[in-house]
Amino acid sequence: MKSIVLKNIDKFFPSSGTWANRKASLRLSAGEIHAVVGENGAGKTTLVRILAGLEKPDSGSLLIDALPVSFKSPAEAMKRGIGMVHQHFLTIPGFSAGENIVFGAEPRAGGFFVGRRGSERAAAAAMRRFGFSIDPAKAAESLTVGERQQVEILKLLYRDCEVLILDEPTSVLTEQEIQSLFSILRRLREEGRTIVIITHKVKEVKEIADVVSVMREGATVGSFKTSEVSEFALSAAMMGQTAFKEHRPRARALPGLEPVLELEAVSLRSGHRGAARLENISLALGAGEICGVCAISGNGLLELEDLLAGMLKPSSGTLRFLRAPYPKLRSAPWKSRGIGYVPSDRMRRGSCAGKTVAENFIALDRSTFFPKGILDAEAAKTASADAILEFSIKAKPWSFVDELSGGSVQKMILARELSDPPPRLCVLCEPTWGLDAASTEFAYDRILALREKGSAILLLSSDLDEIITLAERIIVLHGGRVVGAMANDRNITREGLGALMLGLGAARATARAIGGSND
Amino acid sequence: MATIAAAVASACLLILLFSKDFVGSLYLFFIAPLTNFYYLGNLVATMVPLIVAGLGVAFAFESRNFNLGGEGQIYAGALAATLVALLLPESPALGVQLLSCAAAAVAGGLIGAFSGMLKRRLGVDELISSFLASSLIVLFVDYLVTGPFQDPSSNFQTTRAIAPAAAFARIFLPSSLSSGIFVALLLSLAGKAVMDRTRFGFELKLCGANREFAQYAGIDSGSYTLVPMALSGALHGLAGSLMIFGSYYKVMRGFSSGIGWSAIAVSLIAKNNPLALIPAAAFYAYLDSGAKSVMMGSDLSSEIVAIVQAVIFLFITASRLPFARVFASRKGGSE
Amino acid sequence: MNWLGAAGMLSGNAIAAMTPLVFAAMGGLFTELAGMLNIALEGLILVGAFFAIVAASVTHSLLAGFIAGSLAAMTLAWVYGAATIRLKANIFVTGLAANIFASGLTVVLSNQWFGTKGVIALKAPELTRPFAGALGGIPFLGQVLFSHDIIAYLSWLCVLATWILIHNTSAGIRMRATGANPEAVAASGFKPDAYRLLAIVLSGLFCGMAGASLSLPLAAYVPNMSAGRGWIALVAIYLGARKPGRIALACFVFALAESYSNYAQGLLRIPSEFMLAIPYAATLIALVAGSMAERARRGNR
Repeated sequence: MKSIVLKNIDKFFPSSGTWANRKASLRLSAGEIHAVVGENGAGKTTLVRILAGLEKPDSGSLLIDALPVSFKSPAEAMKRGIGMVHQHFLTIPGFSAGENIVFGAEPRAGGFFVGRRGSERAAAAAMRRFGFSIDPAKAAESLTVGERQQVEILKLLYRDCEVLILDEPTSVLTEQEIQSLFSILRRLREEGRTIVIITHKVKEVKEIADVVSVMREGATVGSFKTSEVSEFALSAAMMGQTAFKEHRPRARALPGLEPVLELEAVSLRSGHRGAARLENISLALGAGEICGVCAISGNGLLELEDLLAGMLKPSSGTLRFLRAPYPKLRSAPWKSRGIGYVPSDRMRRGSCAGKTVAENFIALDRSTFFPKGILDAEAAKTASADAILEFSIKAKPWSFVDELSGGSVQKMILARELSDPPPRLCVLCEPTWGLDAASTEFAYDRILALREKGSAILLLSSDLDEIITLAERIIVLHGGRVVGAMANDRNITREGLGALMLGLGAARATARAIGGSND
Repeated sequence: MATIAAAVASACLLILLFSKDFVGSLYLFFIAPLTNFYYLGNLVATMVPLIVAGLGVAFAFESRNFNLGGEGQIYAGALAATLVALLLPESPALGVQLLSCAAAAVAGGLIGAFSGMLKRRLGVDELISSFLASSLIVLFVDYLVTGPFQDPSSNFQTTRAIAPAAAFARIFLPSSLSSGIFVALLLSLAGKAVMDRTRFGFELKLCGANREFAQYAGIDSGSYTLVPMALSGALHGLAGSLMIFGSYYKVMRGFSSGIGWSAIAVSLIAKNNPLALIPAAAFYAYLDSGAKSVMMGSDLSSEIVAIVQAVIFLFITASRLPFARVFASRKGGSE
Repeated sequence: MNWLGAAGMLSGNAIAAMTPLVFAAMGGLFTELAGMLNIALEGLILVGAFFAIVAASVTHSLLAGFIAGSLAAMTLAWVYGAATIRLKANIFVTGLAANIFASGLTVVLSNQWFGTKGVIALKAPELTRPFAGALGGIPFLGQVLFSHDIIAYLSWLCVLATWILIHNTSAGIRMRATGANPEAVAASGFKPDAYRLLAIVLSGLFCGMAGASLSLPLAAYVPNMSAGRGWIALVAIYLGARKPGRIALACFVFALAESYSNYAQGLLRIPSEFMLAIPYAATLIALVAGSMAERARRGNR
């Protein structure tokens, strides 16, 4: 196989109502390491899944050595030598490493009897051939993460794959394991195989890849030789350079008031290895302030959200609300002192699909709507009808939530949290994700109105437009750490923020942003 | 509903296969139960425990707690009620009835709470633990009925009978229907009110529908594991006591066998709606009556109703067919 | 009877008694490995026992009875499996359905074909005991190893066959993988559901053999013959850590306890209900202990 071309690929997912790929393309040659980069939701995973036979494109073509091909299943792609290593490894517990490698293509000896030792011998032979060194008899459960990945790669090599696709391979590896992986990949490239790596880590692209294709919003925006493009230019291509919206908040700090929310050196460790999911986060938020915290997903936003929801306790550091320890979710101090929380997961956490709008609306404030334990149906209907009117939600109080569009559900959630009396602290997580332009404007207005009434608002979002439009102060997280904290003034650009979110170093990014020039 | 159709179809098939007189048996199965007060009265009497125990099933299932221990809870409740009544032979009827029913509810409630507690503290699957505990309780009560509490003057395996004065009034003599039916209907209405109109019912259903959202709303899902299981057990126990005071007056070994499973089938057909339990119980009692009348009037054995019940169970939790939603993706043989 | 003789008799009885348990446990092992909770073992055993006697009474052949019992249980298992997997029903409820169906069907057919709801006794030739003549006289070993009927020896072969099936055939390997990580199986291009259904059908086959091994040696069918053996089989699978050899050992222990307790029951006059309760109690205890161990393990991580 000398070349593979994907052209004009379109793919629509009815379940989410989005075009995952729109005129996406990819050009691969033998003996190269090809990186595919882009933000979350850019369409990279969908495109390579089409290549691996896991999805079928709605339109477009796949050409192998200039001949059109279509795969009905991953098995067919595998027959043509294309295989994929998934982000979440599919190792089978209860089997050994060797058995995992040969699974599905076990060696046979006389009839149809295959044995464990036979499988491990075959796996050992493959490992010798390709230069790996894992003990094939080792139990799958005791493999390290790096070894598990090697088993996944070996699975493909055992079947003589010429094209190996790796989805975010370094996200779970230590530094050493990453270098190990890179040397394996370089070796495979020398053999003439093609490696496709999906990643959003720009630094690694420069380190390992020969070619990089950038995707944004479902399409491929460019393809470059990595030696000819800078990290900054790459991140600019990934994050886009759109114009700003008109309104800019006037910087307002209500003078001399005590901070509503304080985080001091908050860290969150998880699991037995104590991997730090959040490290040393500090911030203070006063009344009438909007502070935006932005990060690429997987870099700490969810953990911060759970902390502020009162669902998790920090491993070290302190959280304070109005100078007192941060209250537990929906506890008495939470409710009486006023914290509002709009979760990022609107379908699982923020709403209950099988229930009506009215039931969802009253669920958070049961003491009001069930005086003496009995439902006050009139009050429930009135309150939800009022909210529907105020927020222009396309629903009735008795509509079921699973009939509503995502945007309507989000409006309902916002209506629930942003209604009077205004909470002292409002934690908003991805509040306008998936909303159309009009609803987004409406939400922005309500959020700003809330600020006028004196609420302290913490905005957690991966949407740069949202952050830039609403926040007075911006904090950027990368890898669970604060990598940038600045006022939202004229100097802030998408490219600058994007570079910080991708971990490209504060000083360089800010310099570029001020300088305003690209490489 | 497809399950009901399947149940009726399988009953017809069974009659066709095993009866020498197809038309005659068909008549006995489908028509005879409705033709006179005796049969009708018995049909409605059968509904009583189905509704009350079914209510227990509904409360448990709505909160995503699968109480499969009904058999033991009903049986234990019946024995508890009988023993209390036997202890107070001279007391005023109403007092005896109330105390006995309370004892029955406590007995059933404790058994249910046992499984609920195992789930809450140890994460033990309540589906299995309630089934196993119930099987043990049935054997234990069997032992008690034929051993320490056996009526010495009787040739049957049974306890002594409660005082006739304490029993519920009979309606539609000579059928076995008693005023217990009014209790059952009232409970069904009360159950509907609690489920749909109270904070308790609201929170219970929310915990069953979406645990994470319930947590987000500040509901303690732990107590909504224990309480529904205890409540479910209590209602099953109460059903047992209603059977005693309404129709049986003594605990014969195995008298309540199968009612627990039938109550689950009834609640599943009713989709856990307390009011819908009434027609669902009526349908089920109708099938049961048909089987009994066929057994008495012809050569078929009444166990065919067990086969019909099995057919109902086989299909009612299927989620690939359009009607069933209750158990979808809980734990199946599928991914 | 001297000490050796008594031990031999007890052990010999136990080995004979463990035959149905071993068959059923091997059957249940397949579904357990494929990741499913199979409570239909009871009903499948019962169906096997009944239809074995039915076929034996019609054909006067014990072999035909054995085959018929196995096939009948396999058929019920197929229906149970199809409802659970194709229609995506709750496996506990469908398992219950299978059990209820089995007990109902056997009574109806028993009544229909034999005119009784009670014991059905046949005048059938006794099962061959291949080694008893020559080697049965050896003290202790003779009773323990050589005086059993063919079906018992078949059950020992069954343990070996099961081991080979799950380790040395591609079907067995993929069945185990389906239970461990169905996504991985699907990603490798196979259908996990097909292997689950296969596991259920195999459990039916083996439980059918278990049932036949209950009724054919007696040449009689007793209502509710399975008497909790399906549950004991499940416990044996857990105790044996899903390994065929160890499971067989666990079955032996249970059978030994059963034969000893039969002896003791006569002596000590323990109510029969307590005997019958043991399978359920054992399963419940195993379940709770398992959950506690799981909690402890997770806490230590």
